Amino acid sequence: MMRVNIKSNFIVPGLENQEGLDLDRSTITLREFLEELGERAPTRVEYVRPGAQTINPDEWEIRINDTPYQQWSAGLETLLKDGDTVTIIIIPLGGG
Amino acid sequence: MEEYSVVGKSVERTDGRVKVTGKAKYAGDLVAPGMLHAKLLRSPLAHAKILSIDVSRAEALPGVMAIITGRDFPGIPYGTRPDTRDQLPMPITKVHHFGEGVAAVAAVDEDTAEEALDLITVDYEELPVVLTAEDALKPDAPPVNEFSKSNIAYSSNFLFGDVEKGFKEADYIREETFSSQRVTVGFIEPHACLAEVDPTGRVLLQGSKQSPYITWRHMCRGMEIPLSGMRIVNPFVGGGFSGKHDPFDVDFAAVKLAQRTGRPVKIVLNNDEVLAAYRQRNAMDARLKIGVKKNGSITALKAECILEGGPICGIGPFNIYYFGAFLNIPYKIPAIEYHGKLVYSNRAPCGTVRGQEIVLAQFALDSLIHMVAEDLRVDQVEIRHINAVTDNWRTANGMMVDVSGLQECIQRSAEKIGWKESRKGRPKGRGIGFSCASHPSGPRLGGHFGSSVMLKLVEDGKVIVTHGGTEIGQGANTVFCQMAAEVLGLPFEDMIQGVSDSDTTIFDSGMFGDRCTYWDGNATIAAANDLKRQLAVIAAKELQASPEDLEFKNRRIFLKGKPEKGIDFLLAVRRAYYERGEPLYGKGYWAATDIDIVDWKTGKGNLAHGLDFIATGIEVEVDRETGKVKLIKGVHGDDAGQPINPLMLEGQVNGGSAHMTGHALTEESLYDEKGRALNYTWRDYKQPTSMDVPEYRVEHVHTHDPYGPFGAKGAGEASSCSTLAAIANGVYDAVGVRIKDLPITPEKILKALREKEAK
Repeated sequence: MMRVNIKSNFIVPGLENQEGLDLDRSTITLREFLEELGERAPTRVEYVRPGAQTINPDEWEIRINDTPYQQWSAGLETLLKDGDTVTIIIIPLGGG
Repeated sequence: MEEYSVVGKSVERTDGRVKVTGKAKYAGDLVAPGMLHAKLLRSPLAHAKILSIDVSRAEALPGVMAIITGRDFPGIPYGTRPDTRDQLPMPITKVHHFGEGVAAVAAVDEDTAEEALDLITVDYEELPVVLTAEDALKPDAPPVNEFSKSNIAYSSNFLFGDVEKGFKEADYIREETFSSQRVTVGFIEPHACLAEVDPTGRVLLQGSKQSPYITWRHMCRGMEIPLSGMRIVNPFVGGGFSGKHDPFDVDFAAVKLAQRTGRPVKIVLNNDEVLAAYRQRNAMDARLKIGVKKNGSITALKAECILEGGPICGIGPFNIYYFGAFLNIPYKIPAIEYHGKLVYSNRAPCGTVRGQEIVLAQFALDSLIHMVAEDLRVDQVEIRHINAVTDNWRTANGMMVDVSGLQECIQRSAEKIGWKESRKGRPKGRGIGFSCASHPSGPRLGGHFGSSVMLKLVEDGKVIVTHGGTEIGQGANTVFCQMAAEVLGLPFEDMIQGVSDSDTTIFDSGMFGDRCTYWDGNATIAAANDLKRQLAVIAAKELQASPEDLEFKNRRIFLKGKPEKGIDFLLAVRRAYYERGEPLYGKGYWAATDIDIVDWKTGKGNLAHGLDFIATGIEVEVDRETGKVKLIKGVHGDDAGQPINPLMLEGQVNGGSAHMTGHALTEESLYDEKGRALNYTWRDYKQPTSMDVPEYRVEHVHTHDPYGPFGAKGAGEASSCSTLAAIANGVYDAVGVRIKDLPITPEKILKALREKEAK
């Protein structure tokens, strides 16, 4: 069992009243974690495109324990540990 | 107050003459060698499965070069936020609203393309339609959007301060409902674009776009084109008012058809198509509950809002956010509870319109304030004075109001409209309504959110100003030229507006939210100072002085306080080019990195600088026999900081107000029971003309915004936010009936008068 905390500037779809995710495993990569979040969303949400090596910076800004994921040597394949915090900043594209 | 040479002067706008003489080239005027013309086949149904599309007969028509449908695109949804992506370039499995484009034909001329549309057969299976918010929220409502199981497209719940305590402290509480109709955006130039593909496959799109870089990013995603694979050049744009941010089927189809044929493809819509099938303002249902003390000071507010936004989420999350977060201004409200929902429907897709949904929030709030003031026998001007935000005010959600001229705005609009005199006596059927409003100068979004400006100093001493913001008629180009001229000590005539081209100008996050003058204006100052630094080094050598000791004025560079010890500006320019071989470019950028990034979850934070304020008084006359409302006079006390170009600022303020008079009184996009648009021509859709606009007066309240360029704030949207309630309140003041569901039609007024008389 592990828990990954989530910080965000939006309500993460599927996690309306939660600030983290309890997982029935001991390790998970950042990519797997984001895919898991996407699967839990009631609408279609894609944090990382299948097969992509990076996250589109036009869409999401992702940090692991307050460090941009790009600065972790394994990038999207970084292994998250119990108690780690993933920050997700949503990047909207539009104006009124 | 500092004396300026160019800033603060009503110089002639850079694009004025070419526009009024008909020489300006808009997207619809563009031509390219070998250009094809394209047309879109539109759905006659509001909600239906697409079973098949047979294009074989159309393809066989001589002159038809290519036909595309939704299946020709990668099927990747796009949308304003990555968690609400629910749009495809063209539909694949079903249509969502009347007039949705289902196929596009490129042909050698428009007539052939039009004829080919008649030869395309689409087999539909009709589905039940969702027309209203009430329909959308029924448990058995059919889902509208294939990317969402629910018809709730987005929701927000914000809590600022202690609402329970606020209502407990109130001496008086009143609760009311308000609603607003669907209205179109209202620009004159319909959507149009010209797409070309070069031999390497690189796309050039020239379109009528308000924020071309928003279009660019969405299109590159929806078509799987790398960002560097598309170039955007902006022609003249005939108005946007928030309706031209997104890419539409027009843009996607033109690019796809150009890719398919290898030839330039142009699409120009007609206004009927725009009115039937493109962006509108959300319909709103709102409930507001307000608590006040005996003197009228507000203690708490609870607001619920449901926006019906058509079949896509689009900019809707912003609309929900703006409605709730900006209830915090222009009045001091210590505690606010807000619940907002955006729902899908099978009416035309919504974006927003000038003023965003602050327009709707302020209609409800300021109408309610009028009611409360009357109940408490507090003067309408006084209650606004009591609650108006002041300098250095921290709102309940954490926004910092640096400078507020609202008190003076209220005082001056009341004086000039003749409020006090009108309380002593006024002609029968006449009344005055008040409303205040505020609008931020652009929020801080994530991603590429800054503004950049480039100045190229040509060897004849003229400066070419290029920027990533967009001139859509608001006058941005002119104010940037004024700012650059002021910093460089040059006359306005020495400024030339360059072309907005993504290959040569720097990307910008867009022209929205009153941000352009503020953000790009600051970037212009930075660019001019960069250029000044380069010239100062050259001149200092010539003058044997330190660069920091030099002043730029009247086309001269001289020692501060000693105009006689200097050189001509042009000489310094020529020294750079002819003796040093040094090109003279100034670049500048600006972004409000010290404000908080939008928190969609809580609505809290210091969300924006440059809050501009307005107090609007409108005198109306209501004919008790016909119910017709005539607008007599409108006065706007307006705090836009330092006016950069007072005449253009007046145009923005008056235009923002005139724009909303139709929303208040005459406009409504109507649909039949099957979701088919009914009044999608300018003959049937009643937008106001110059004949309907009252005599306007703008009272500039000069303040100095500490972060704004030359102390300026954004402008042009606040007056949209104040106008609806001012008119509704004016109608009440005139004949004593309160219309809470817009538009305020003669029929509604007569019905209310009859009901009142019957009591």
